[in-house]
Amino acid sequence: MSRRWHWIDRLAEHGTTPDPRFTLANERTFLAWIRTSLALVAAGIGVEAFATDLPAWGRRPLAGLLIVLGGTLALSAFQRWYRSEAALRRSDPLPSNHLAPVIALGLSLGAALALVLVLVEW
Amino acid sequence: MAGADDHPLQRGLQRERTSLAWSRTALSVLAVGALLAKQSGSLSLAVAVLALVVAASVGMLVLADRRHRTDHRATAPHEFVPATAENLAATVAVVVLALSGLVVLVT
Repeated sequence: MSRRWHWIDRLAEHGTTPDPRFTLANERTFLAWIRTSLALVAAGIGVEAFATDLPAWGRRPLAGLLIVLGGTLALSAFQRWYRSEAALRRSDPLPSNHLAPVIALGLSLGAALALVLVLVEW
Repeated sequence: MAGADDHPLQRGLQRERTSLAWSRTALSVLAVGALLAKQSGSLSLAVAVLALVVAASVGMLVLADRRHRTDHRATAPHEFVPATAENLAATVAVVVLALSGLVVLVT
């Protein structure tokens, strides 16, 4: 076993090892959320770089919102993965997560802001 | 929990999908890093971001190969260990990209 920080090893020693298919499925789900957060960050960069007809006073906050949303989602995704892995090892039901609703809310706010900017410029 | 479909072939397919998930993530990290580097006004930041994403992507691809070697028959001990450090590193990489994006945004 390679030398690692204790809290990292702690998960491997927590509870009993589940069927590895579940560990792998949990890992894939985490990576899917990570790719989603990367898409949000890319969207934020894209809005700032390419949506030049939108006024700067609104475009910057919109880009910032998307980037912050992406970064926050990445952190939440890791927390979701960690807690799910711990629950799998205890044979507990998976913890409910609020990633999807929070992202939906954030994206709705961003879409509303984008709509306002488009109408203002129109 | 282990059902009728806990077959070695299923296990190998799971590994393959996980390996592919890491590969896709590596490509996404590279793409976002390249976009950010291109939009960055500062050369030093662009170089730093590119170095980060190349290191992260190579790390992920090496990881995908090593950890999830698609041997459909044997049981690989790695797959029983949760990839805590690897997942944390991926999370940190995305957060650093997001912070760099904010830096580019305000400068």
